[in-house]
Amino acid sequence: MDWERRILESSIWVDKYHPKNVSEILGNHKAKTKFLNWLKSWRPGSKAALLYGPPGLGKTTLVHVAADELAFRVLEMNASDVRIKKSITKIAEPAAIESSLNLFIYGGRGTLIFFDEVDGIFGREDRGGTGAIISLIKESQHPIVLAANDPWNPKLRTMRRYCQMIRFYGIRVREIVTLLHDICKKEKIVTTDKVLIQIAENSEGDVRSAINDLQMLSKNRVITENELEGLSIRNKQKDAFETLEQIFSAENTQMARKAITQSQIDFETLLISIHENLPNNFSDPNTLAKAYNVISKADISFGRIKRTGDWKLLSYALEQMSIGLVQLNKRSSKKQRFKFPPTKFMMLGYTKGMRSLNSSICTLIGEKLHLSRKAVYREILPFIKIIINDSDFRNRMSSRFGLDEKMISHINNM
Amino acid sequence: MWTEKYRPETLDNVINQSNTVETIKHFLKNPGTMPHLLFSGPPGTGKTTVALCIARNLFGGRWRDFTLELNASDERGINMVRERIKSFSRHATGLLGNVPFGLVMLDESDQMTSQAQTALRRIMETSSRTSRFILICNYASKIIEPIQSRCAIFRFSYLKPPDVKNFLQMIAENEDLSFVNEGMDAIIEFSEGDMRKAINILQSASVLKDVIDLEIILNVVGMAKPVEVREMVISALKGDFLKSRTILHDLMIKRGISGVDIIRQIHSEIFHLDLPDTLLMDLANTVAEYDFRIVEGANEDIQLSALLAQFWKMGGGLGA
Repeated sequence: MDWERRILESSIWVDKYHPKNVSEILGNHKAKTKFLNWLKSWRPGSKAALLYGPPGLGKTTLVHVAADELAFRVLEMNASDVRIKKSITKIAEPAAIESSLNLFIYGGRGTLIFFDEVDGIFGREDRGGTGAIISLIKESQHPIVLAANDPWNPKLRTMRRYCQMIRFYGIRVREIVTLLHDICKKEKIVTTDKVLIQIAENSEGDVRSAINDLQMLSKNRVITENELEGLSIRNKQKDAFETLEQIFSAENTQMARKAITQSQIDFETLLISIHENLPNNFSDPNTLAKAYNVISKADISFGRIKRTGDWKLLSYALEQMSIGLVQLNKRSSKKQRFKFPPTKFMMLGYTKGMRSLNSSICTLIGEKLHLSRKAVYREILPFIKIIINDSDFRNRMSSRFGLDEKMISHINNM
Repeated sequence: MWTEKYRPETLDNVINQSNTVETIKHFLKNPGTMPHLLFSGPPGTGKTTVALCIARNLFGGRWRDFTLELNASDERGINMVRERIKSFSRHATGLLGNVPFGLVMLDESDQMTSQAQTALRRIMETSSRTSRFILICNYASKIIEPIQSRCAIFRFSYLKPPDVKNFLQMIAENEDLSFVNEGMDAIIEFSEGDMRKAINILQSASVLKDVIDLEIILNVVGMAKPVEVREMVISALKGDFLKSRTILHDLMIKRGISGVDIIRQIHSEIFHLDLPDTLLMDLANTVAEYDFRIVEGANEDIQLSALLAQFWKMGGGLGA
């Protein structure tokens, strides 16, 4: 398999010591069993599997080696693929629907469709992607596996209903140390247990990063405790507050850019969060206007990215934002508290009922008056609000349009 | 509502628009000769009313069975429109003697993008044997040429004050309202040739007072006018940026008004404020720029807030 060939050729330890079968994957015994049972008992119409947990725990690996052991061919789609509905349908559907043919050709159980890092990709614009995957899950003649770091992402809410959830936990320090010890032996690296424990602890359960650190430190075949100081605290993703703080206090473009690229929050949320916190950081009208101009332009670049699906353009948007804001930062010095999540997100939640009530009122009235919802809202409701003060008109209108008590009082309070 | 109660049901009762009505009556003598129709004109001038009269004239009491009413601003995309027209033209044809087609009324058709209109053109072609289209819009110029060339185009103009007056008087008599002349003139002035608005003002006023006079009309017009956008613009110009952004969020999130609609309202609002010409010029240019940015960008909220920040900068000298 090309999977193995890649491992043999590689001098990167993460690849070289990549697990070749399910039992070689460290930890997560429950998750492994659950996944294997799911895959063995899968029938068309069954749920998909959603593997979730922090990076570096072997989710992707498990999918590949388990498929190998059970004679499935893996059809993988990565976050870097453009996941607009069209491409999903184009690539994945034919594979999912012609099932018996594959059985002949590959001599196994068939194909397993794997969507890695599903939480990373669904912006508001490619919501169609979620829908496409869900309908694929429903129709598929093949098992579908999804992997995500954060399965509670609201964008995945609907999808969770169609998935069996399989959780991955961080790997225990002891298990990582054992693995690192084995690698040292094979690579003839001289070191102490204390060093290995330190590396393992620093990785916070992420095997991949532990192996990478080990390789990085073992250039001289000897790792002493002194060298551990060179072990950078891994770039664990910054939380939103830290990111905002760093952006608004950055002294140069590199610092601002680093803060943005290391951030855990997606670019869109980040843009909105910066927007939310902008007036608190720039209180002078000229600077605020300039800062908003920067954000506005970054948003235009982002709009282009969403329309074209070309995420390569993201670096331009990042540059526009970091360079622009840093130039303005120098002029403002006061320390600020940041708001997160943006109030807008919270408002969207609690006003949802209100908006849908608005829309049903306008639909009911619009049907009778031959007007669009927008036109009703703009041209008719202001008058209706006055007219329903009269009880006779109110009764006639509510029966004519089919408005209930709740709707009438909503119009009254507008 | 009175706008509904007093909507004319036959072409003979439609006021004004007499050229249009005559031509359409001519078509209706022999329905097979009726082409697709395109009605354009400002709101409240009778476009939908005439279309409904045509439907009644063609199909009588069962007109609803043979008429598909669509509103471009409510439908989700051209594919929805296509599906609905397809299934409609399958069942609504040739069932009624001398009328060999069903009627498709597409309101606010100028809200469609030109790509959607191109698709609409195809739909009109493929279903022309079974359906006649009445496209209704405010601006015929926003309808693509190929569609215009397939339609008989009728322009509806603002109603003239005497016509509005006669109609309102008829309603007043029917509803037992008493009128003061200044009240009547005020309705005519504020409704600007828009009959729907005139009738709505009248009905609202009738609720608040027995005699329709100038005072009550001013009252109604004041109450019915959305003040939020105005307040938002003024707050921004005077430097209360946070307040103006809060209003913006209320409009977008609580009310669900789209960014495009808000910026159009901002645009019309700045001309109603008493501002020096040079400032007005700057504001108008900026509004134009950000209207474009909204279309180009990803997030209307960010773009509109950025616009308000520009307003603050430019209006900084306005004081309290």
